[in-house]
Parts: sequence; structure tokens; C-alpha cells
Amino acid sequence: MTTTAGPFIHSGQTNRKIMVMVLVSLSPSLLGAVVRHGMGAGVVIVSAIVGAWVAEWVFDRGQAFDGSALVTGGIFALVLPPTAPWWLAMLGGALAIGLGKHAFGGLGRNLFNPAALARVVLMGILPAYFFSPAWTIDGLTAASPLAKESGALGPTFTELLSGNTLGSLGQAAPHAVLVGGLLLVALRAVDWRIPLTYLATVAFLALVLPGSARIEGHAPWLLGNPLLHLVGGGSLLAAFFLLADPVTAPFSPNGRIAFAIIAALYTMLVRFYTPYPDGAALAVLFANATVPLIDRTVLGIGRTSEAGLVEPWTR
Amino acid sequence: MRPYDAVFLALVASRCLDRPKRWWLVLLVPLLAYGIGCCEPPGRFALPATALLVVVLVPRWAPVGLLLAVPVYGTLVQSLGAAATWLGLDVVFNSLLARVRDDAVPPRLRGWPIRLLVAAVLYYTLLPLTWL
Repeated sequence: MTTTAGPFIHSGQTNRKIMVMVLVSLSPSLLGAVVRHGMGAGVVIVSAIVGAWVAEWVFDRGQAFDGSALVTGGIFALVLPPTAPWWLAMLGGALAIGLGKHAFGGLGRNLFNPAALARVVLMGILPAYFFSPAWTIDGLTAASPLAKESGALGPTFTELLSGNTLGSLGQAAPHAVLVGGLLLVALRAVDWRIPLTYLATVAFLALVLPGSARIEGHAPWLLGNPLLHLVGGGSLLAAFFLLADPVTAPFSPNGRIAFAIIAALYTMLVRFYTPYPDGAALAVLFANATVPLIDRTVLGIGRTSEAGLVEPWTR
Repeated sequence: MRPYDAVFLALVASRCLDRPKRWWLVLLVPLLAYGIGCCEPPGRFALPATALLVVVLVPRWAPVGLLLAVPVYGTLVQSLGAAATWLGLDVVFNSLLARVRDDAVPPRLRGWPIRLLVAAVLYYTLLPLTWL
């Protein structure tokens, strides 16, 4: 790893400033979810944020007011269905902070995206809430337009864009997620390469991947329909708010492109060849798991030196 | 036990033991188990013969090899898939653990708890791939 000597110029960014930017970008999605699903969605969002903030306060009072818990809680709420009970949202918010963040050493040291991790952990410890018929097996959403159910009908173009489909809170207003995501990119809070590469790869794979027996005859509208895969599942939310998290993304631009391609490949593999309707959150965790490997391959950091010392990871 | 579960158990078990010089020989175990299973019904000499060969093949990593030999591999592709999955996971798991800063992890979670947490996340993350 190449390091340079000082002096260094401070970019002017602080954790609190970045978190405010993300919160502002997240607010259209949260507002859109409440408008679409009513106060039930509001309760889920507030519960998730309260759970995250309380966990932050318990584990590290010094960070409780930097806004990161609010961001994590808000993002976690968006991966829950509007029918989720308040306590599940609160528990998930607390898990995201406690297990996803502080178990690895706190802000900036987590290996996995906390919101995606909390979702997957809850799927493991409380499967009844995630595997019941009313709440389809999923990596990010509830029964979504991507569900491969025999006899179901594909969503129309208008339904897709208006968010008038079943799914998580984050799918309630795709245009709001897009606006918030573009704002994040414009504010340079995230690297544009990640969402662009991820969404472009998802669209490309939606066009070229051959169908499987799980799709043909069950949900043929999933084939050759890039718009459905971009808007119908958790792709937009994953692209802008989960994958683009700078802490769990690779250091280098090229590494970030590879990272986004890996996530898109995993998302589409799950959608096309498994019974899971969507795999965006799982794809986020999978891509997060490959980050140290990508960094080591692209930048050479994390390798063991000749002296037997491991190059340090620094952020 | 499914090959997928065996691969994860073997992955965790491999962290309990020192890595032998020829650790990669453990990748042959699923193929060996499949080959012996094809020649001999599991009820007779197949299991003891597989166990014996595994111990001879990777003596210092015998527990890891035995865990990989436990599942019944139905096809050659399945056994190759198990070996490839173990290899891929071994690399990913190592790189993830190298990034964990033990001094930053809360004392009660240092060492095994955090390793098990990472392994569990990988397990659930990759679970959909068992449908492929």
C-alpha cells in the first residue's frame, strides 16, 4: 500500500455533515412510503429509527448524536414491508446498530451494511415473519412484482413507476428513491460508479439472461424486462443507499465497479434461478463480503508482507 | 447433512486447527467421497474406507476432511461444487477476518464470537445458491 507524507488538506466533511446529507436524501423515500401506505408505514419507520438510536446510545453515547443511527434506522425501515409489526422494526433497528456496527468496532469498521445484515439476521431468527404465505421469502421485499407465483399477473408500466405494487416500504415510491439517490450522487456523498454500474448491469442481465423453469410458465414477464428489475424490486434502494455506503465499498474506483457488477450478478442469479423473488439485500451482503478480496486484488492492501506483517486496513 | 452445511462446518472447523502445508488436498475429499459412494453402498465399507483415506490424505486437517466427507454426494458436479465452494469461501472468509480489527471489537466478541458471526452471515447470504 502506498502512503504519502503530510501535510493533508481536510475536505471539510464530517460524519455529521455526511449523515445530514444522507438523511436529506433519504427523506423523499420515507415520505413517499408514508404517503403510499399511511400511518402504518410511519410507525414502522419511527420504530426502526428509535430502535437504532437507543442501541447507539447504549453502545456508544458519543456517537448517538452524529446522525448515523437515524440513517441506519431509516434505511432499515425501507427494507421492511409496511405490515411489519412495530417491535420487529425496533428490534431490527437495534440489531443493525448493535450487531451490524458495534460488534465490528463501530462507525467505519463494519464489514457488512448494517441494514442489510439486520434484515438477514431477522430472517434467520424469526423466520415465521419472513416465510409465512402473506410475507413471501425474500432478500429485501415482501411479495413483490418479482414474485414467481403461478397465476399472478405482471405489473403494468404505470403501476411500476407509481409504486402501486406490493413490496417493501422502499418500493412504495421508486421516483422518490431515485431523486434521493441522485441527490446523494450530486452531493458527492456516494461514488456515482456504484449505482450506475449496478443498475446498468441489472438491466443488461435482465435482457440477456436465459429464463429458467421457475420463470417460464410462472412469471414470464420477468424475462427481457429491465424496467421491472430496476424498479420492481429493491434494486434502486440497494444501488443508492446500501451498496454505495463508502464504509462497506472498496477503496478504488475500479474495485467499486467490480463490486457493483458482483452485486448485480448475484441479484439477478437469485431472481432468475431461485424461488426467492428478490435478492438485493443478500446481494449487498455478498458483495460486501468480497470487498477485502477486491481491495487486495486491485490495490494490494491487506496482503502479508515479506516480514510476515499484514498491511493495515485504513479508512 | 447437505453438502452446503458440511462446507460451512468444515470452514469453521478449519479455523480450530493449524493449516497444514498441503491443505489443498482437502479439496479432493468430496470427490473421494463421491467416488467411493459410487463403488460401494454406504452401509458397508464406504464410510470407514472414506474416513481412513481422509485421515491418510490430510492427517492434520482430518476433522475438516471428515466433515466434508459426511454428506452423500449425488453427482460428480455436486462434489466438485462442494470443493469449489469450500475453496471460494476459505479465501473470502480469510480476507474478511483479516479486515476485522480485534482491538476495536468489543472484548466479549473478540476471537470466536466474531468469526462465527461472519460465518453465519456468509451462510445465510449464500443460502439461495443451494437452489441453483
